[in-house]
Amino acid sequence: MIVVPALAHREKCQEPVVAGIISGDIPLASANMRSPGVGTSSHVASLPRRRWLARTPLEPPSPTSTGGRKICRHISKTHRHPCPAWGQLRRPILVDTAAKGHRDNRLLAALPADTLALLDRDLKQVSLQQGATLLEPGDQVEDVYFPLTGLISLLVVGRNGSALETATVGREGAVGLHRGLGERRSFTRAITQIGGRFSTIRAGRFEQIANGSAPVCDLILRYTEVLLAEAQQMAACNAMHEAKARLCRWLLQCADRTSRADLPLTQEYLAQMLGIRRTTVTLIAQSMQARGLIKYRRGHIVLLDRKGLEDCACECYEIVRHEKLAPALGVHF
Amino acid sequence: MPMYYFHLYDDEKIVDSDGTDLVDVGAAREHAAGVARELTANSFGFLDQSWSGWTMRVHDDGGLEVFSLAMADFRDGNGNSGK
Repeated sequence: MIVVPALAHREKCQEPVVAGIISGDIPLASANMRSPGVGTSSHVASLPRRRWLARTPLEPPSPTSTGGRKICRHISKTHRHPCPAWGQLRRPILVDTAAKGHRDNRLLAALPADTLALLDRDLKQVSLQQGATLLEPGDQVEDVYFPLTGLISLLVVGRNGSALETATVGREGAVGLHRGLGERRSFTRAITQIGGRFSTIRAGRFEQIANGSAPVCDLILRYTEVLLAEAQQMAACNAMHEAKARLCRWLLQCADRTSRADLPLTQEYLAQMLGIRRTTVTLIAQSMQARGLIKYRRGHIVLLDRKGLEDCACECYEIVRHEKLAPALGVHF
Repeated sequence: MPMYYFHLYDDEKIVDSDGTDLVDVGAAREHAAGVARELTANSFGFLDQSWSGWTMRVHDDGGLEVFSLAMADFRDGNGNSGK
């Protein structure tokens, strides 16, 4: 939890906050922060109810007994708040835990500050549960999603209803980005593989901004190139590499793209993502646990030995790492 | 439907802790063959041992072995593990 100051103008024109949605324009840094005071525990306890509603269900509110002083120290160290009046703020507003903002997404972070400012007015932060379907094949793309902490799977759906993952999108990417070029339909199913926070913008508005912004158009094209390369590599991987190597690759990808080593994933889910039977996943997971690579219990996988997993993964893991894939293509964000 | 458990044996034992609901032994054989094909596809072996040493033993709910199969029989001959 972090505490940021209330803005005078927000108090006047506070828009309604829907549960699970954090208004996108809550800045951590603003020239309007002028109220004196500090965020003590008593201030936290007296916060407006609507802010608690805004919290994500996945990240429940910290107890109000959390010391305000501790919170402020944390902020001053980690966020380097530029506002000189920071220590004299009176009315704190609670914002979702690690909500440092849209720049947690690498694509948004790659945009020039003035371009991101254009988007910022329309970007909202939402919290999505695991398994939520964002798009089905053929759907009009109506929203663009930029993962901040969650992960989205793109799946090709067969006629018999079976689905196979062809790409994962975490904070290094976005879903529906090409919608900025005009009206588009989705080719794949998109579901939240790991729940978390996402920045999102209505597609029509995103298209309007992209139309007048060379950096946004450029970002769309570059990311599309990278995603195409990743999908090609995944197609080859699914056909060429053994199930265990693919599972290791997949777990490492998930961990990298969400910055977590503890993945809330069931066997059924892993099996579906990799297009193999659940028993196969169980046996592989048991063998990996026997070698100390992972700790596995129902619905949860903890990555214990990163080096061991990298040794076990196929070459595709290294190839599609976003730090490597884009430069390898000559694409720079 | 009865539960079947698909364990792997070599010098060590890899346990299918969850089991699978299947209608009969025929379905269990089909499932076992599918799992064996998935595990051995593009693979040299398992836990540093070649597949020739591995056996899948299929147990019922009571822990009795229903049938077993040699994993090496399901190898596709393509040992590309991706390295």
